[in-house]
Amino acid sequence: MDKKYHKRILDLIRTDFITMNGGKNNMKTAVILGTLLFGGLGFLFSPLMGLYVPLGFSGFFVPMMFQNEMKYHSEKMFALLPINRKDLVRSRFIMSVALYVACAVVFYLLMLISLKLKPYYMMYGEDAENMDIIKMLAKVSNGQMTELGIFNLLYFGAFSFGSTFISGYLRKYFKDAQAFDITMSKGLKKATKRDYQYTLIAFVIIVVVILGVIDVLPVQSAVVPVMQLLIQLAQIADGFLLGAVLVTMAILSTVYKYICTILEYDEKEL
Amino acid sequence: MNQLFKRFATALCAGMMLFFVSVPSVYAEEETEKIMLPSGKDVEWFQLQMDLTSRHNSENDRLFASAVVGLFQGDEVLYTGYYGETDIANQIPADENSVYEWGSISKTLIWVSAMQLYEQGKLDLETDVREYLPEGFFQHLSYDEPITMLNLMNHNAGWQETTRPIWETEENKVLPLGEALQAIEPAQIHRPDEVSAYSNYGAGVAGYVIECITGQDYCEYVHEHIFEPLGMEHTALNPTHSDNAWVYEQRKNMKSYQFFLGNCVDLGYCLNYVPAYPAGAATGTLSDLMTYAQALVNEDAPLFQNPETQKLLFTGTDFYGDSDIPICAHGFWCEEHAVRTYGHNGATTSGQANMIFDLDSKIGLVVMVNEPSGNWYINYASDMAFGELSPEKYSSGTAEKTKLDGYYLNARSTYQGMLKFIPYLTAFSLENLGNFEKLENNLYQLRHESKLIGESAIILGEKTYPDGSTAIQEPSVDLIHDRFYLVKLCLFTVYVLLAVSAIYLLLIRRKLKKHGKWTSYQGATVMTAAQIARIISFLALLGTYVAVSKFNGGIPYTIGAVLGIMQMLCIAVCGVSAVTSCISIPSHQNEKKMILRYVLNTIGCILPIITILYFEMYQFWGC
Repeated sequence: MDKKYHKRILDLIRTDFITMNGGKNNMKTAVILGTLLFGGLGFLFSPLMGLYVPLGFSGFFVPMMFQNEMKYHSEKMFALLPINRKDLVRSRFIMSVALYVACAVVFYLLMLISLKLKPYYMMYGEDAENMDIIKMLAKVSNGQMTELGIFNLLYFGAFSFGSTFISGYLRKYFKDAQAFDITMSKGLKKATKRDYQYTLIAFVIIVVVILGVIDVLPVQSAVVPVMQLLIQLAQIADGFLLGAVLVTMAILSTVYKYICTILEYDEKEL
Repeated sequence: MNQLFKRFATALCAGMMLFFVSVPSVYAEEETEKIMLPSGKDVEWFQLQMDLTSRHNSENDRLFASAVVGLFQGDEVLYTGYYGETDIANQIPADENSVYEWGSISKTLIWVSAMQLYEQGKLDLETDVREYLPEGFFQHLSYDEPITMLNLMNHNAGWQETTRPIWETEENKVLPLGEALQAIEPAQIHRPDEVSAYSNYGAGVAGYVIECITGQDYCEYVHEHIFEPLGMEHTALNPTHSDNAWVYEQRKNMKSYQFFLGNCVDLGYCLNYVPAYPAGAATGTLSDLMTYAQALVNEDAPLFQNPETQKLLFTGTDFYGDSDIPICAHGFWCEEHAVRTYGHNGATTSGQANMIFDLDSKIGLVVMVNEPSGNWYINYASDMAFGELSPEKYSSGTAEKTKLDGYYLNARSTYQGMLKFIPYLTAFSLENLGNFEKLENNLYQLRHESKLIGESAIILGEKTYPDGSTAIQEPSVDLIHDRFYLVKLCLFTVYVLLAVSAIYLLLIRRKLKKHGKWTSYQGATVMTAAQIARIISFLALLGTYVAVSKFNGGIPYTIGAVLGIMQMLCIAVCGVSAVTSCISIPSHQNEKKMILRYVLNTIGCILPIITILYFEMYQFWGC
């Protein structure tokens, strides 16, 4: 990739930033405040509250990014401009994932400091011990998991879920911006083919789980080694190994959705 | 009047004197009558704890299904308690006629029988058991060193867990003992005497040795030489309980229960028949098990011709580190409570049992429940009777504190064959348990919060194998230190991740094809085949685990063969794909993307091949 290409992508990212900042009553302030609030509460009271940062950020970042675009229907503008659709998808994926990762890393470090210094112990004294859920969970694990291990497990889990969620959100937006409109009542939305597919998949999963529970299908037995592997990975190296696995899964999911978005958006009638 | 007053005053004084003299003596008598348990508590306190727990067990808030508890001192029964129901739906209460499965306590019958033959000079504990068994009995031995009865008692003959089904669900499918043992013979993975790994198979072999020496069915031998002399009329040993019609009928009244998320789940009658029955098929009443335990603390040794044989039975045969603290005494497990106790516990698919006694005070405890795991009585009764090990007993308090680094694998597992991956999914670290106090003679102590009050300790030993590797000794099993554990776990993890990534790659290919963007390239079909192979290989791996849970604790040969051949085909497909990619690289030297694709595919194929080969997922033969 040459420098011109990099500049083109950076310009697109800048355009999105400008669009995001414009307009009245945009969500940006609310998302930033929400992130800072949960991050701050997490730092002061319990690192577990810090889990809301990747989860909340992933839930609100994409709507925040496209709120003005949807409001003023400026998504059609890109069809008129000499912009490669693939570049547009790439720039938005890069921007979303980069901001998400940066935010998650900063707050992860902050929560780590909180876990180490335990400022909530200074505020509550000995009573804090009864409220320290991470410590309680570590105790329940019979010494097989450290506090850091438990925190890592939960944080990496939230991070992976969040990144999968963001890429899914982006794919959905590129596919049908109107269906994505969060201001539209759910009841008024038309069910798409994909909605039926998801419903069918959910139904199949529920049936498989039920058959597993009532022991018709050997679901429980098949899940055991997978669960054992996850538990084993969680116990090792303070949960970083399981963290690496979860991040790998998130990367695979994001790459898949990115490719799907490029293919789908390329064929879309704007 | 005066006279009357004097008489009255005299009578009053005499009465008062008598009262003050006699009351303390009555109390003194009561105090001397109180039998103190090794835990430092008396029998009444023990009984109160058992009863209190029972009182909290209501229909709406169930803590346990049923439990029977017996406490004795010598010949005297101090207390018996029958709690809960053996069949909750039909409201059949636990009582003196309820029969419970002994589980591995049955093994003690083998060890007693062996010592009986030893004192008659018919069995030498240090002679190779192959001398007593039919020629060519073992098919999978890896070492020429003799396997002695002592090895079988100490569970260090070197066998791994079997990968074949270990129980039957139909009575008529139960094979004779010798044939049953040959059908499940596991691989011998350690040299005899080196590694302790609890072995049901080894105990079964010991039972068969008894059968071969006496020329009598093992079940008949035990009836004749243990049950009948002790008057144990309500205990069966045969896997189908057909040796005792009363037990056979009574067993139909006992269901098994499992607590799951606070709910008591009915598991049914759990009538599973163990063909290698000496290892754990005895079933009987509380009274009979208590009678047996009482015989074992009796100095007159009613089960032996010479009381010295019983004394020998309870001398240590395996020790913690280089210390004189015994782990095992001729098959009986030694436990360090407030006093040293001997006994055995047991668990089957339907219940658990514990038999434990102190040879000095002759106090013993027997507990039987119809839950395969958990249960308050099983967990706490022995500590309430025998106390817990005081941290000060073996440690002066100035012992060096150390952390035991690294990861440990349970020696009692499968290290050969299709289930080789299992111990790597259950390995654990001792590091987070806290600081171990290093006592002398490769002995460690770990202080922990007591189950009852305060602090207690557990003892662990350390031993070094001839190859230089180390292990921590726990009762019945060695925990083997594996220096390369993380590498092996990472390899296994990458194998799983490659299967997951193969799903995504196939989805991407499908998507590209759907949108008409798919362009074929050299080796593309083989690459896709390798991706499918990686997924199938992972599903076959899950299949082995499913087979173990569905087919009575092991993989039947035919199912093993299907899964093993699937893994071999996956190796072949991945191999061809890796070779094709390697060959394709030179012809695409100017196409970086293609080269990257080929290199990644080669790595993605080689790693699963290494994993399948290392974890022997293909090996369906042997055990």
